Amino acid sequence: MASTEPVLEVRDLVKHFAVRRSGWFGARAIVHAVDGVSFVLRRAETLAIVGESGSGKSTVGRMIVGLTPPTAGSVHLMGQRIDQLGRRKMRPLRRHLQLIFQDPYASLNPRMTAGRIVGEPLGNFVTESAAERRDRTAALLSRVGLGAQYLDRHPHQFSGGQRQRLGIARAIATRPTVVVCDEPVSALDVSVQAQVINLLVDLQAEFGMSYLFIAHDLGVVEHVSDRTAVMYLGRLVEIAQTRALFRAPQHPYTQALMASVPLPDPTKPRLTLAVEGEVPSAIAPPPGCRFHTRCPHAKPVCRTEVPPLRVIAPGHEAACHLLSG
Amino acid sequence: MAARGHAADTPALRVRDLEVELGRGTRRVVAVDRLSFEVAAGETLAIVGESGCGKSMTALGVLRLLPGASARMRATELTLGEIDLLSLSPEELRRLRGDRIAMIFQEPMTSLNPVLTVERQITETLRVHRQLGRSAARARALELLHAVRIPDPERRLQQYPFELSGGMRQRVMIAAAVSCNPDVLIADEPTTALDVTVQAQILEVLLDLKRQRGMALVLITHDLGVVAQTAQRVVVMYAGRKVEEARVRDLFANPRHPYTRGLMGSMPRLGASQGDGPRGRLPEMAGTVPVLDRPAPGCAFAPRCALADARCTREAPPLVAFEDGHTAACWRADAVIEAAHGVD
Repeated sequence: MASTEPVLEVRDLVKHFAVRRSGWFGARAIVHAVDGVSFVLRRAETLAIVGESGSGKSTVGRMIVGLTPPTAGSVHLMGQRIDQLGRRKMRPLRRHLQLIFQDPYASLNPRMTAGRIVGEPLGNFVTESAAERRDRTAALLSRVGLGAQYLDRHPHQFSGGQRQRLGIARAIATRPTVVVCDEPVSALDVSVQAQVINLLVDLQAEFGMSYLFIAHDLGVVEHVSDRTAVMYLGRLVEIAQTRALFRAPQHPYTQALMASVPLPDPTKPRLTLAVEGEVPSAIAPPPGCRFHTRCPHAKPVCRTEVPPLRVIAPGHEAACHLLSG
Repeated sequence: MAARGHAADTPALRVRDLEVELGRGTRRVVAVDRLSFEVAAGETLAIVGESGCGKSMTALGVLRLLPGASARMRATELTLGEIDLLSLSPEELRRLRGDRIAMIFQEPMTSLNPVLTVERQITETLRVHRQLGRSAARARALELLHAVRIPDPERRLQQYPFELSGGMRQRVMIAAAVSCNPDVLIADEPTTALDVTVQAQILEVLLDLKRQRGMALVLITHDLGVVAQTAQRVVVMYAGRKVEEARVRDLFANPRHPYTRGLMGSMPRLGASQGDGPRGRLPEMAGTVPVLDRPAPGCAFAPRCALADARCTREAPPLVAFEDGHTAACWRADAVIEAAHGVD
């Protein structure tokens, strides 16, 4: 069960990308991918970040693991600020922070055998004999449901689900404290998805890791997470205990998101159009509340003033002018 | 507009014993195996299954759009209303596609022409099939863009696909597909690449068009939520075969095939955390979808099936009819129901 000890904290994370609007000589424009996101991940907890494309959820994950430098703000792992550490200073901490990708194929070196892929990460941190490493690697593979016969195979010889198991084995090889899971099951078929979700949940119970679980599938998020954060156009709009959030979503965007999911039950009411339009461009995000252009309840203040995240119930925060009493 | 007249008992599309074969010799794969279904005017039939089950190959087989020499299709019957598609020449077929039967795909970028404006994408079909003049076609294109509820339709006419969002591209593709009022629209994973709020809008557009025009809609999807909210009937496919067919309500209330039941069980459902007690494990189906180049004699699902017995691995189960047009291909269909009620 999750404790209250924070293992990862992000403060006011911002990511702006410079792009050219069109052509070689087009005007430079700024993509506001992430704009002031803060949260805490506790020990042995799963915090989900959910949102649609353009929400910035994956960029948050990439900044945390150091794949892209933040424009502003900070990332703290087990009390230590890590976003400005160089490669060398980061090395001893690296084993505590691992990443699982959406597309395991793109993240696995096609020339390496499964044994090397899984054996290498910890090999960077411990000294061991070749035989010891092989035993340890075989044990890891078998823990994720891949037998010893897979040790010498290459990624292309695995199915999608097996590759994701391999990616998971690599991530947990160093016994990390925090694992950032970026859409870990969204490329998988439903039946395989269930196997991988169960594996992630079992491994967490066994090793006590914390997951930052980035996903767009609300059913999956509700199943795996203790708390859920909802992002829209680069900002956090709501964060709460998962059960409370799914029982009574407070932000109009969260409500729209949940109402849009088609339920696998033909006796439930037909789809109702929860929200019109699409996510606006992050190049010129709407002023004020970024959701106001699609919000059915928007008031004048929503167009001008950015609503801050406010506590609306114990452990439940939302950023909406309509919820401020 | 009302559905075009054919006898009330003639389905808009009827497919009998469709087979699609890919590759040759030792690399031969039966992607679709003796598949039969029909869909009536104004009806939505969902074809559901996981990747590799043959659902997209079914669509391409019906439209006879399979890639050249490497793929072959056969059927004992393939009729569009009164038209026998099997007897048509390639040229006659080409004239029918886009006119009486149309298709939309998951990723509109691959089927929209990147160097043509939205206006051209839509009017091309109209000018070929309906011999409309330029201004008449333009007016019709605008009307269609209104029908698919694209924002700012006048401006969209002059834009290129890359200037549009994924949702808008899908709207353009739908507009082009329904431009000639087809009797049958086949939609292959039309919302899979879209965000969930946009998916809801696109499904709404598709269902509205179907209602207004009395089209038959064949919706190919992997998402049981989409099936439940849009279709009247469902065909469940596994390893190239139809393993179950039923009215949507019957399928969800009373799935007869262990694979269907497994699919429903392994899908994490919204609202599931609201029950009492700790979070449970998701029910798993062991293993993965079989590779079709090494077909085993019995039921293709047997290696993953908890109920399988000796006969299941020996003999392929035939489709058996239960009540109300509910059919399933399972030797243990009765045990499925018993097992379910034992658990409930």
